[in-house]
Amino acid sequence: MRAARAGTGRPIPARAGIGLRFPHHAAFLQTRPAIAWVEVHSENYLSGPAFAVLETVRREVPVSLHGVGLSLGSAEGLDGRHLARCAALARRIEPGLISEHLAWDSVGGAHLPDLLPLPLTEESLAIVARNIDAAQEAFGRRILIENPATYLQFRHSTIPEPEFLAALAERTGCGLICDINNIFVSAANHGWDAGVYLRALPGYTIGEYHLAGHTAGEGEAAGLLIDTHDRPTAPAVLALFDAALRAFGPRPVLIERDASIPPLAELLAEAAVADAMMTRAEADLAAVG
Amino acid sequence: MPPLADLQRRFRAALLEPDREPVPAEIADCAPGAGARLGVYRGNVRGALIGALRLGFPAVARMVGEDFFAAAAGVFAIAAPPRGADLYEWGGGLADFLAGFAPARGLAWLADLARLEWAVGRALHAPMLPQLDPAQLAGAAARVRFVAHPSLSLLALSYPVRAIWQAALIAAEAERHAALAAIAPDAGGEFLAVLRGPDGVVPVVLGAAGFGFARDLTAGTPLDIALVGLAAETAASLLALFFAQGFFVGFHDALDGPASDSPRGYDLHG
Repeated sequence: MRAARAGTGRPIPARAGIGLRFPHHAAFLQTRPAIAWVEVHSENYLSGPAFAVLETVRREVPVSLHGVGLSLGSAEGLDGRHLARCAALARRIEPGLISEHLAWDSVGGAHLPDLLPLPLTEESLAIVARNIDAAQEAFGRRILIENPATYLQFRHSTIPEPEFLAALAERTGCGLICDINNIFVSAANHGWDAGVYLRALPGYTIGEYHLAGHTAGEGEAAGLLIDTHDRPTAPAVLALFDAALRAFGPRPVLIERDASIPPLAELLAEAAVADAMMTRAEADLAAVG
Repeated sequence: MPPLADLQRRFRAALLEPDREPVPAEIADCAPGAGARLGVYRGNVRGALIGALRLGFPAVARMVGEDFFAAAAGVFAIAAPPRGADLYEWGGGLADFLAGFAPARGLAWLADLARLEWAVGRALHAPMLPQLDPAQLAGAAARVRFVAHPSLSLLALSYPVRAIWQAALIAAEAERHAALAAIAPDAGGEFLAVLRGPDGVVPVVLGAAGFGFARDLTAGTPLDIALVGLAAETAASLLALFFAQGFFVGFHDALDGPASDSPRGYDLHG
């Protein structure tokens, strides 16, 4: 039986939005900031008071729901109760987009709160596709899947990551979030060519870009880049974003900050930079075209 | 077991218990090495778990200090990791864990403090349901059964942890130390109701009779039975307190019949 379809609410425009986090709730409730849309982590709004804030915010700006705990890569399948709660949240909030990650976090009834890596094999492809099918069934609509930032690879992986994501889109009809910083971080950690990765993605399936800051690992992790979301997007990542814009065109682009969260004005300034880059790339493409 | 399920079980064990589970051999050993790469995830998971508990138990963390709290929370997280992705639902077992945690043996009140903070967190994150207006009871039978507000916890505590909790959360250090110094930890226990009221989360102090009456009513005991043995004046003032504080969101009237599962007074699915 197909679940009741979650309303699609106000669509997310092909402009820059910001991740709405708790420290900015008060600012959002007091004045409506000049931002085209916001994205929130679904798991943080299952709480009564946070949900009440989101109900107010959604009347002001289009909202995107970004899950971090569905564990689409779990071999054991999805946590039905959690999926049902996220689907109920989506019915109430009517987000413009719903998204999740190519990752796992649950095994044996335990939830490990991080985006853990998967071996990229035919077995994993079948499992993740089945889980995405179940999620799309529960939400009653298409979701977007984000490429992860990873710190390790498995010897028995047989499918390059962009091909794996393309195959998921092909099998399930899902779209993709192209997280530019995650491509940059993973490419640095595994010796990939970020430009080659980008060009291997099926552009028509990309429904959203993500931008965030990363940090150089320390101690044992020296030599790795860590996806910390604790600072502005690095210039090299913005250059890769420009390449994506010229390859795929404008999409909604999110500025994500999850640690060392600055005043709202700083995030809005970063969003303005991303908007300007999108406008310029679009003008250049129009001039060439 | 399918290969991915088996790998995920070993990956979990290697993350949580690195002394007992080797780094899975499937992880490519490129510089800086498979162990160091897995270590990034171990640090992320450990940091997120301890961070979630620190958010939920700020007074416990304050009273034992950051290092002690991180160590205790780390042991608890391995023994009883969250069952689901909503971390607000995790930590209910921390109080019992602390009661049996040998390094905390000198702090007899610590488990009760954790019980109070768990109730506070529960109250903070519960669904926002309007409290029952007693006027809705007009015409209801004496055998009415109340439905507790989802934010309500009733606590029978052995130590005066409401005072410890309030003092521990004072930001100014000198003021905090003075407030804590004034508390006698062995002054005896207390009965509390913790819930989110109109002015935020507050512990409501109950006497033994009030606690027993509230426990019976919130457990679904019909009003006429819960009233047995209570003086009329006591019952009237307690009911007034429960309604004023918003202990209930709805009620079942005996006339609804035993099969009825949709109480009157609120609509969870509205």
